[in-house]
Amino acid sequence: MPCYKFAPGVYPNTFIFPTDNGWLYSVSFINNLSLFKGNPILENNKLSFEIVFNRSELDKGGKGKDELVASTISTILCKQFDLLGELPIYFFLCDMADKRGFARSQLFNQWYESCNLPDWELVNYELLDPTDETITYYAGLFIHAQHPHYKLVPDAFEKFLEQDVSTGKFVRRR
Amino acid sequence: MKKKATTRKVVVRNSGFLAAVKDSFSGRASAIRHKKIVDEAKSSGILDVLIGANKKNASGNSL
Repeated sequence: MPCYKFAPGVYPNTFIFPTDNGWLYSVSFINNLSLFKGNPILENNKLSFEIVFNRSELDKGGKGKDELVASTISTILCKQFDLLGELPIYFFLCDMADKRGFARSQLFNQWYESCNLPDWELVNYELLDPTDETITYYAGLFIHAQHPHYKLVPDAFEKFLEQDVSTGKFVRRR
Repeated sequence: MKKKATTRKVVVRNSGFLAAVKDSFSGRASAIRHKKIVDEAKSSGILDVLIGANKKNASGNSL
C-alpha cells in the first residue's frame, strides 16, 4: 500500500515521517513500566507498550485530508507488531482534548482492519468517568492470539480499570 | 480470517489510571518526546532525506 517513507526516531521503538502537507508525525511505542506496576499480567514481563502519536507543523503547506497518513501509520503498526513478535501487548488512549476521542478510536479500528494482522485481536474500551458522566474516554488493547495470557489480558485490563483503589471494590457494567 | 474488534464499556474507578490519562492528555510529556525526536531528525539530516525520498516516490518502505 502506498505510504510515506519513515525512519526510526531517537528513542527505541519510535518512528518519524514528514507529509506533503507540511506535517511531521512521530509514532512511538512507549514501554511504560510504571502504569501497571504490581499487576504482573499487564506488566507482561516489561513488554507492555503504549502507542502514542504526535504531530507538529513542519511548514505552511496545504492542510487538507491526506490518505497517506493513515496508510503510513498502518504500515508502521504492522512492521512493529511483526518485529517484536507475539509476546508484547499494546494499548492506546485516545486524546480527548479536542473532543475527538471517538473519531480517533475509529481510526485505530480502520488501521486494524487495513493491516494484515490476522492473529492480533483489538479490544476497544469505552471508559466512563464516574466523576463526570458526560465524559467518555476511548482506549484499546492489541493482543496476539498466541500470547500465553491471550484470554486473561483483556479481562485483567478491564479489572484494572474498574478497581477502586481506595476501597478495593470492583464495579462492572456491560 | 481477520477478527473484528470488540468493545467493552467500563466505569473507571482506578483513580491512579484516571490521573495518568488526564496527565497524558495534557500532552506535556509526549510533546517533549516529540520535540526531541524532531530535533534529532533535523540535526542528523534524516528529515531532509525523508522529505526528499517522499517527494520522489511515495511507495512505502522505511529507510
